[in-house]
Amino acid sequence: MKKFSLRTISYFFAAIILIILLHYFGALSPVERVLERVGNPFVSGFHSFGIRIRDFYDRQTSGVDLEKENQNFQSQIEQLTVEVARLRTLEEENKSLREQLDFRNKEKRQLMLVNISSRALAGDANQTVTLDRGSADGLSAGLPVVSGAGLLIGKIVETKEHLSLACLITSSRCQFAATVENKNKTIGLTKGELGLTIKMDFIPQSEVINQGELVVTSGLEQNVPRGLVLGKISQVQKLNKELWQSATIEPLVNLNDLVIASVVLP
Amino acid sequence: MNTPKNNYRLLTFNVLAALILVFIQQGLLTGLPFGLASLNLALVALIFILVFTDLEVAFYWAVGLGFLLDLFTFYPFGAHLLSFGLTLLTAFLLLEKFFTNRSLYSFLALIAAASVFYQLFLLITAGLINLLTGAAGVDLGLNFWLFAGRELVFNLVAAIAIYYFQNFLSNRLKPVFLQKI
Repeated sequence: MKKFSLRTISYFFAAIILIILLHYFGALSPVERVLERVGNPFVSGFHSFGIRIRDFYDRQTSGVDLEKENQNFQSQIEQLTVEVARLRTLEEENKSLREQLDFRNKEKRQLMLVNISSRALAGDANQTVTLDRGSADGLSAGLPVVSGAGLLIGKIVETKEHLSLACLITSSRCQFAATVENKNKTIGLTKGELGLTIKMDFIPQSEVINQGELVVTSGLEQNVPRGLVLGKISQVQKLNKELWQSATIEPLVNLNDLVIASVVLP
Repeated sequence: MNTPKNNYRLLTFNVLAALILVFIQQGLLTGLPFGLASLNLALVALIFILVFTDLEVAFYWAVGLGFLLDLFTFYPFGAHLLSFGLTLLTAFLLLEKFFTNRSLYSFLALIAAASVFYQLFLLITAGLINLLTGAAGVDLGLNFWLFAGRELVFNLVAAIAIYYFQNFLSNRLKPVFLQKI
């Protein structure tokens, strides 16, 4: 192997320091902008290819009894059809009442479609995703990210000019003010747990919450509208000696195979 | 021949290769199952470049890979650049003083050492840059250590695969025995 003088090595480190300084003084911005713009579609493309491989692998190894799963889905469809019919009636009723009260429709949300270009290489690799739009597109920290079906998947925590970093709802970095869709509209605070589930804390002991109830955002946070679905309660932890009770929430969306999402704009 | 045209071709090839490597690292690997996102292909490639070419070429690659990874990740800018540079220097010193590039075991030890040093340097540089820029610190929770452990294992597996692939393609890594006359 070729010998190297200390001088050559110091030149290389001087070059590295110079690049870092030029970045922080903004002198490299044009080059960085071009590279980000050109690179983003490729990173997203590679990522969606990786997700397809993961999907294929999951299907081959899941060992799920497809017939049984199909039967379950059929029964769920029947239940949901009844539910949809009931909700349509309610919607019409609601519409007519709103018209009578001249109530402004606040439900229309502006969404920005984004590609999930990768999962962060940080320690919590499976709990943060990189989006291919950034501050130049009007995104900022705190904006919620939803899946194609409108289920909440996370929140933007950091932005670059053409990239954003979003924590997933199962990440301990992701907290939401939430409410249970029960009679009392019980409120609490959700936080990701171990990258697998969500924990809802600060629920008063006097509140009655049940397994299977939906949990949605409460709208008490800035930029996070009310009604974005976080998941269903799978377990309630209630100890008499504690001041608060807590609940474990199962997300309704598979956070492992996300390719496209939408950011809810303010 | 070392003509300007050939130099430009070589430069273009290296830049494209570095870009593709970063796209694979950031895009493809992070989508794969088994926690393959922890595989640090860029680092493994860098050590291979160091072993099969020389420190100068490897340094150019370290700067290119570090710069691109700093652009496409949310680590503070400069963390990857400095970590790759420092890891490469450490690996070079280890290779000169303790290891040989003709044995798989020695090679794996070099990759393992480089993986550990890389994580260490990344942690220190990211922490320092965050301190200087006033950003939030790096989360050193259980996930970080699990990720670091997985990275070490996957890097070694990748190194074995590339080593044998290289062995299959060329005679460079084949053992040479001296014959007694």
